[in-house]
Amino acid sequence: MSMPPRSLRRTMLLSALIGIFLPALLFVGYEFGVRFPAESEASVQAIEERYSQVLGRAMAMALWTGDPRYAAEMADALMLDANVARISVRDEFGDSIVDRRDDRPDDDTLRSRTIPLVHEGHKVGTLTLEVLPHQIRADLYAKLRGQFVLGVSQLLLSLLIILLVLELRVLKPLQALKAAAGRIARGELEGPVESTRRDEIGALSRSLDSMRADLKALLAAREAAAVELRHSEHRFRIISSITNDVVFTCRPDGEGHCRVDWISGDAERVFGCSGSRIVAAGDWQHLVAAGHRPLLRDALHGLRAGQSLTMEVPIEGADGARRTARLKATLEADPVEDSVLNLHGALQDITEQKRAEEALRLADAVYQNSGQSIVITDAGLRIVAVNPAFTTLSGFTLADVRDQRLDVLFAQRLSGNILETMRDALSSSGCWEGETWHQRNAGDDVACWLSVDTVPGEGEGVAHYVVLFHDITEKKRSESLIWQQANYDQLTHLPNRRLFADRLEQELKLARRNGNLLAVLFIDLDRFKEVNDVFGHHCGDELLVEAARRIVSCVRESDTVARIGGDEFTLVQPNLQRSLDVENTAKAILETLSRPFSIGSENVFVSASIGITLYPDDGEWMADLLKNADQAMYEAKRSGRNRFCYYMSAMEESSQLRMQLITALHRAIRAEEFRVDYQPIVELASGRICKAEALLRWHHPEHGVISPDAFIPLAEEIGVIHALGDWVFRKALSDAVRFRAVGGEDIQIGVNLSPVQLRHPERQCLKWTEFVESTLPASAVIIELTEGVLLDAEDFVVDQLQGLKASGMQFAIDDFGTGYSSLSYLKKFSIDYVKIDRSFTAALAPGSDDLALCEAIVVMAHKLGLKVIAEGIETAEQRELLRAIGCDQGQGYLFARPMPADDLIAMLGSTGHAAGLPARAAPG
Amino acid sequence: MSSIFAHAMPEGWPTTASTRPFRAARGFLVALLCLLLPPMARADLFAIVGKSSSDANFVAVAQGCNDDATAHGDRCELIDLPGAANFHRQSAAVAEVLRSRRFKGVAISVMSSEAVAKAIQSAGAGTPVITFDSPFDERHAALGRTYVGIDNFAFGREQGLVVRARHPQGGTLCLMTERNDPNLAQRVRGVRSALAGTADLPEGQPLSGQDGWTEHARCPWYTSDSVERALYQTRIALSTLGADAFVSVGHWPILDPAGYAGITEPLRDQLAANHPTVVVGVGQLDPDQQQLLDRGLVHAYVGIDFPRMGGLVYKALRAAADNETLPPMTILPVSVSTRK
Repeated sequence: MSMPPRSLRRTMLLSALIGIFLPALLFVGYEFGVRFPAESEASVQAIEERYSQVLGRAMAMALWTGDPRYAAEMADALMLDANVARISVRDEFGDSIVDRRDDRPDDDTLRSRTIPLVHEGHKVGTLTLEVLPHQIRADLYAKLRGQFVLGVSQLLLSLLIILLVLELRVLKPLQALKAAAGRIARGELEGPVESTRRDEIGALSRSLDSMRADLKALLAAREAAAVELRHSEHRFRIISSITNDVVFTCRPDGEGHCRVDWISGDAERVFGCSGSRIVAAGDWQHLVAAGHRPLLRDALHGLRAGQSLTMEVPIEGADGARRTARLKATLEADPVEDSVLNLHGALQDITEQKRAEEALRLADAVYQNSGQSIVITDAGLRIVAVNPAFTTLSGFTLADVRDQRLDVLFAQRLSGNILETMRDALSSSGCWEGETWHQRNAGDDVACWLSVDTVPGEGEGVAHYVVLFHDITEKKRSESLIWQQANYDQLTHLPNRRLFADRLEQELKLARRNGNLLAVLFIDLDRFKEVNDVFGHHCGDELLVEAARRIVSCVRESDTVARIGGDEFTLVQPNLQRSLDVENTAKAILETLSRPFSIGSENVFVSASIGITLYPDDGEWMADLLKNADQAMYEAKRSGRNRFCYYMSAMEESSQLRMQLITALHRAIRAEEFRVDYQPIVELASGRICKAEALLRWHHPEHGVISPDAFIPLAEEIGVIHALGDWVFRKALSDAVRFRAVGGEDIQIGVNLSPVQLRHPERQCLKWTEFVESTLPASAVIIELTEGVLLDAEDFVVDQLQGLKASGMQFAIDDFGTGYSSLSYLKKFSIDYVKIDRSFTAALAPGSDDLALCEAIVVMAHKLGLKVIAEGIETAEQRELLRAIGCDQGQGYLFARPMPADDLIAMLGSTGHAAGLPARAAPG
Repeated sequence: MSSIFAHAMPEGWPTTASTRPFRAARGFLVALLCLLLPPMARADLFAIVGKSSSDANFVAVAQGCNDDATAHGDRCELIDLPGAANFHRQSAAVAEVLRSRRFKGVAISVMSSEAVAKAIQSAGAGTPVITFDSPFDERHAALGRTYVGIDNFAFGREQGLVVRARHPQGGTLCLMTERNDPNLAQRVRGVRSALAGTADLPEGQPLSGQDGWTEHARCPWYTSDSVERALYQTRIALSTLGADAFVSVGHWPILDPAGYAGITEPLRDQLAANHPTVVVGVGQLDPDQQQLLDRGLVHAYVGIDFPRMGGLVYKALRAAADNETLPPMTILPVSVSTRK
């Protein structure tokens, strides 16, 4: 039966309470029961006595000096004392001088005393003093009670301090010790039992901690021994399991038998029966397959103590299959008695090993007979083996390259420092693939795709690397050819546009980085098209090849010449010291290209127009430079060809204006900002309006009327002229119907035809014939052509002109006299009118050369059956001079300015005559 | 002349119903006269600075001064210091009077020589100053051109002579006086000198058998200016001490004539036999006080003629204003009144 636990805290609390409060209670009882009554009585008496003496002497003095007022003041002062109940004074006459009493009810405890008042031996009166002992006692009691409360408070505080000290200094440390002891009891020995105290509790803590440490060391030693034992056993088991050997012990009997005492657990895995069964079977010969057991007996016979034997024996495995095992056994000798003790043996299943050896032999055969080139290196990439296929590929035998580093096979020029790259890849990923070039033993190069794989060695190391060589030489050649075709012009073998752009981009990067000057030249052969047309494309190609050769001969090796199309070449000149260098190059190119080209049996002359732009002055980006060079080349063409021209910012501005104008032209067509005005043509003899020339006007919403000279060339260049010309033609014919309705059926309408319109691939002009047929007689339509159209007219143009002529339309040669003024085409194209250019008319004067020239034209035309129209007649004198020389018709401000159709109709309707000309010619 | 007049009616002490209206009316009358009287040709104005304008004795001095001044075409004005005497208020009044330049001369009954001297010095010289009733002490005596008053020693001696005449063989004396008053101390010394028959008695030394006279152990009585206390002390002195003479150098016992009569009436026979002889120093007597003498309840009054003192004050002020040579002091004779 166990004792219930007792609390040390409770015991200490009770002890403190009893020890402190019991004496206090006894003391209080004594104070209140014994001391208080005695002391209160003594206090009453003392106060009564003291007041009597003090007051008596004061009152006696007051009466002695005849000052009753002073006596009354004294009494009033003393009455303030709560213990005094009454003061009464009578003088020597027996009269009451003072009689003071408080208003409290009479108390039976009242104590009264009457004393005589004597001064210097004379009685001057009597004093009666009454005091209240109850009040005195109450005061005393209050004082005592205060002391009691103070004492109790002190005791409680003392108790609290004692308990606090006990709690902190005794109980808590004891609880900590108890907890520490509990941990030790539970076997938790790690944490020390801490205590910094130097008293008994501290000593106890240190003893407990020492005991804990000893116990911990003891347990640790025991655990270490047990662990070591377990480790030993574990090691043995692991060794047994690692070796995969069946370990056994048997005891020889000297007659060739050996009784098995113990066999390892692997026996069941190898033999399919438990070790205990083998032990029960007795002799060790049962370990081998039947039929082979005499081998063991013979082996044991020949074995002496301390000797070992090794032999391969067949065994029957767990699945009944025959397997091969290697038997190793040692006959243990007794060192004391020199006798045989046990035979310790191990039976190792080497069936898989045997198979692996066979597989290895097979792999070697494959390696030796493979068509794949294989090289084996050690971990340092030094060649240790090559197969015959490699020898075939490279021409090297193993003897040639043994112990050489793998890069001995690389063609250094082509493969670079590839071995380092390979090493990095192998160390990080264990394999590497890449394209390499090798030099055969014969000296030629071969491209290979190399695959290198790691053969791991023991641990994390590398045993070997296997390097496979795939011959990709043919593939590389094909790729090279494709690349060549993609980047080079097949005709001139110069870089094409693609490669040129790439080179220019690269050179620009270098120039940007190094701050160098770079020039781009745009070279266009002049009149190459004519060569092609005249001599055929084959000759053109020959010329291009020769031109390319000549251009290349003019430049440095670091320059890039490219053919970017047709007869267009470009040149990039990097690292220029000064811009003058490029000028010299350009001059050299112009000079060399201006020399005759021998094409077949002919000497052909061409020239070139070169545009030059400079980096970084003209632009920093490839597109800008090419555009600038193109614009400069264009400027060189415009300036007369066979020259070079630098790009200037003005070209850019001009180009921008041109682009704005192009945009505005397209917009104007959509917005119908164009209008056709008509300028009358009159017969000089009669002044009658016989024709009207349709003139295109652009009414720009912001810039007003824009002259055709400002936009027609651009319209021709960008092809807008086709749509514009077609619209003018149709509009003029529609208005002509109205003119004819008012002015007569012989009114003709003149429409200008641009040479460009005649080059429309769909022969747009021929479509007009259908429109004319549906509108008015074709003879009412006059197509005004310039001399240039007819001069070098190609068949394509001639066909169209003839088609128009065949439809019945008439032709007029505009601006006659300013060009070739060839007469042959007048007949060739059946021209109906020639229009004398205004430059002749303007300076007409009697006897002038221009008048003579005009007269010659009139005579010549008339001789050919053509009629003559003079343009730009502004004065009556001009009119009269022209009329005098026989000019048929006239046109100019003298008669009328170009006007809208409605105005012309009004003019036709009113007089039928143009202004400035009388209906009838003035006489003379 | 005695300074008891200055302490005759301190504010707050009970006074008899008969004396207070009378004195107030008289003071008002004097002030009214001062205002209403037509100015004479010279019409010089002189200031009377007493210890309290509520004191009938100072009113009497001012009245006497003004009477004589009026006769000479001048005026005297009692400076208003109502209530109990206070030396601070007096010195302030002196300074104000001097600064005003309204007065041709100022007569002061000095309460504190030090304070009045400072007031004069602060106001500056110019107006002549004389003292009456109470002079400057010796240190500041030069500030006053002259002094008009009584001889206090002679005053006491006259009281002693009255007693000695009735008790030639000597006897027991009981004195009534007040502490810390030099004038009263001179009167006490005069009484003792007269009884001892010698003027060489040291001041403050009670009689101890000189020429048959001793003083009772409970005497002198000090009244502290309390009429009540004075009456109680008088009762003891007359009833139980068995003294042969009771001399009050001031008027305290008879300030309440009815009270005094109540005490002494039962002792009329005893008093008639001069047991004891009662002598009281007084100023102006009112009828009740005179009746006490007549009824034999007081044996003698030794008094001062305050209107006459006023006339002398005017005379001195006039002379000072006229820059005439003045004697250091002008002594006023005392009067002795006994039962007829």
